[in-house]
Amino acid sequence: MMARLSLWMVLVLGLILGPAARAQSTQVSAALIDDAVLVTSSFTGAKVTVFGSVRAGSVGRTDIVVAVRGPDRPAWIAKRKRTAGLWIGKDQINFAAAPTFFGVASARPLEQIAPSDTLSLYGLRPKGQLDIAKASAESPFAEELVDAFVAQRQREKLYVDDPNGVKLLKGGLFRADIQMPDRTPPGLYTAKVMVFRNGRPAQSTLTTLVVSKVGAERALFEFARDHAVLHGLAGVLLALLAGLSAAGIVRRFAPG
Amino acid sequence: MQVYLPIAEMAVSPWLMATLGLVVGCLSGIFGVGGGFLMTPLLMLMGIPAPVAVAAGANLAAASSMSSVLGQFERRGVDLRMGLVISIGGIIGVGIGSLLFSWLKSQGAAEATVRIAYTILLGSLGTSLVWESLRAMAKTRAGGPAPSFRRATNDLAHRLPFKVRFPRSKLVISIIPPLAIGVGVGILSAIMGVGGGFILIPALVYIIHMPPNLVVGTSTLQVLITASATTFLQSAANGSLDLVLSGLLIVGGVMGAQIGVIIGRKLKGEQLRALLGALVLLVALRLAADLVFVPSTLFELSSPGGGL
Repeated sequence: MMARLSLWMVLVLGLILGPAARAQSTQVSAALIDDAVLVTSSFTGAKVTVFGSVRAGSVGRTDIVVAVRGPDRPAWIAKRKRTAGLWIGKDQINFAAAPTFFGVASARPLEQIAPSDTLSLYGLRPKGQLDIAKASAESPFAEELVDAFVAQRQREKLYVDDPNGVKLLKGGLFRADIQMPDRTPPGLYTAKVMVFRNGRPAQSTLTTLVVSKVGAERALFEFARDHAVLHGLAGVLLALLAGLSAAGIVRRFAPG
Repeated sequence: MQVYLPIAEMAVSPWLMATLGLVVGCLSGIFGVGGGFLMTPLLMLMGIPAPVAVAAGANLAAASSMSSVLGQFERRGVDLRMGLVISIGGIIGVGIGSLLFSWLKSQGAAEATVRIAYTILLGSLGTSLVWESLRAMAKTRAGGPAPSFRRATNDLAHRLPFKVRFPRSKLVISIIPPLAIGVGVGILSAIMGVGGGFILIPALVYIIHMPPNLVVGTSTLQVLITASATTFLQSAANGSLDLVLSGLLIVGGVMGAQIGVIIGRKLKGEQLRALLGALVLLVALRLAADLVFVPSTLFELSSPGGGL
């Protein structure tokens, strides 16, 4: 409800402020269609949609980039290696913090919008967002494993770069869609909208959304976390009862 | 259709999971093994975090062995006393194994040595099982008298002290070999992350000289006890038990176990041992392939949730 309301306010404000802001610098405002993503038992991922309006001068090119970032969590990656002809060793690096989800949407490829160093500086590249643990940073294989980490998470659709994710509508309005996979963990997410003018960042705005487990998923998750011993007993009991009833059913319908 | 797993934090197909449970449960019913050596790698292949895969495999093994052990009890196919002695040894073994595991980890290459030794052990065990049972089958087919089961009375189990009576197996042997076998299987399961049922069965046959009709039932009882303990410990210590995943696997698993018991009843002792030998060889080949070939997943990654 709040989300819908703020969405309308954005659009109305955009129309009112539009003419006034024309003389000034770039203006942007944005809101999420839904600021809560609910993880239920049928959750297979979600689409985050950002609506907004941008007012900018008519000279030059305006680009809109939307980045949705999940909560940071510790992470690691290991690469198996061959020692004396056998695959028995491992190279591993740890990350003190890495974004669990990192999705960027734009209307054309990022490389065409701004130079690579600008993109990194403004946090639009996942690689720059990884916080490597001190002990791992000096390893000779750190560079290779960091690249592999980003590549692997891109394969799992956790780090996404969609050059067709932003649609420019009439009158300076835009819409951005970012798809999150089922492995998206719950937590507080931030959505950042950045406006580039001729390859230079001109304006930005931040909003947040919450991904949370609800219903049975939440109950089970909290039970496992808060009552680990009871949860374990429940698992054993489930196994024993299932075994008992299967044996009982078979005996009833197929005696001997 | 997909179902979301609250602990693994991902969606899976329930039909696929129930089918997996059915297949592994069937093995459990035929041989009295837990099937973790198949289940855990398969689940990990689907992107389920390793600790969750281990806990789910153990929970499935507990359910399918419970499903089949009841029938075994009814047909008087379980030596309860022997099963308990081995399980006590097994729990001690898991304790020793966990300590050993952390020591091996601190020593670096030592874990690899265990891996290689285990592969060779399973390879030779599987080969001799297949060889021995094929010879027995050939002898029966040649019309000769069915090879009577060797009841040695002068071996290690009889010479060691602390003799205990196992009435169901009609054995009066030292308690040390069954305890030691339990400890050995426990250590292996802690280090290798497998239940070790496929080691226990040949040990019951060749070291304890247990009557063949009791081997599968007694092994199933041991799997039930250790798998229940593992399920509980995984949940209590690591929080890695996913009840939704377990539930899906178990639905298929308990049915599979019933089918497995029926198949197992139709097989002769030596056929059963030949199939088990083939299974053990399969595990050995898989482990060997892991060592020799370029792994399909060169990189291993923590799950996005971070905790597991």
